[in-house]
Amino acid sequence: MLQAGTGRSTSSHPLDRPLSRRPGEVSLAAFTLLFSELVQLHQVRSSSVPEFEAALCDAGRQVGSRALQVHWIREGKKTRETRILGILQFLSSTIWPGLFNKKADSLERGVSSKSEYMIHDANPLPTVFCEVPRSLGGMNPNAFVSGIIQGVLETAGFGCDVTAHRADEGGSGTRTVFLVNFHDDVVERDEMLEG
Amino acid sequence: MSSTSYTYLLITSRSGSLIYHLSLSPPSSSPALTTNDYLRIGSTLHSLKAITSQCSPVPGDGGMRTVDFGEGRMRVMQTETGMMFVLAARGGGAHDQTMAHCLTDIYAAWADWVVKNPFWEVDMPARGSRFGEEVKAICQRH
Repeated sequence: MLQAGTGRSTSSHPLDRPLSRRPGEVSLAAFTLLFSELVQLHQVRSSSVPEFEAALCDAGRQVGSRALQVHWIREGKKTRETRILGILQFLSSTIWPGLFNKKADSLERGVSSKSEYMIHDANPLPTVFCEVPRSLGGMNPNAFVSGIIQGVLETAGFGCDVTAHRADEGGSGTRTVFLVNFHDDVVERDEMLEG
Repeated sequence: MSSTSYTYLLITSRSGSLIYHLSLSPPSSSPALTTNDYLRIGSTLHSLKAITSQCSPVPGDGGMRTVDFGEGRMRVMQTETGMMFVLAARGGGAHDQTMAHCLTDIYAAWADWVVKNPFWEVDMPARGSRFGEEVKAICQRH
């Protein structure tokens, strides 16, 4: 935009500049200390393990919702994704590296049920330093990552429930499986689109 | 492969209470220390650190840093936050500088695997096993 008399262009308004393609990097230390405070806050506020995990899941959903929108625009996509496999692949190969600097280890379809899909991650990044004490039983702080997945899928129009499960025997390792259970109407819609 | 034979690591909080201890040598080679032993050693060393900083010939000095046992050595590191890390080793290969570097790496591992764990409370005993594995790996490298 040229301004009369000066002969120079003025800098564009920040809202007019394109969304940067290179996302900023955040130090893992800074994030995990913040995440640690989030976990402690909900530990104090919750009166049971399921309530604790649900609170972390809700926090993750807000992240997921925003992550989807940012990465979708960054990829320059102009239309919505309408297929289950399509959105899951976008999640595991674009959003996952955008958030955690690595692709999800694998994506599989559930054998027993048409609505189930699994996302594997050997060591989910937000919970890399978490070590749950035995007094908290089966509590899994990866509920936060489940929430992120759920937020992404719900915002894209694929209603579902996501739960995190430990994949190692003995339940002490970091290998995690995120079980995505799509709602019936989503499964029906996907079948109709296939046909 | 490490040339130093580390015996134990002990960590006390600001107040002198024991928050971590780990035996680094196989149980057959040196007498096994019980948790009570570590508690007593920890609080004694904490007091000694405070006393030696007052009677040190160097004014404003931090106090005791190395204890020489002839065939063994103990290296003490006090952090800015008042925590005290104590590393003990035996054998002729236990060099002061090596142990000092080892302790710095152990402190970095502490800052990761204990401090960033949401389920650890400040100044409470640390129970995680991941930190212990890291300490053993660090001792192998030094």
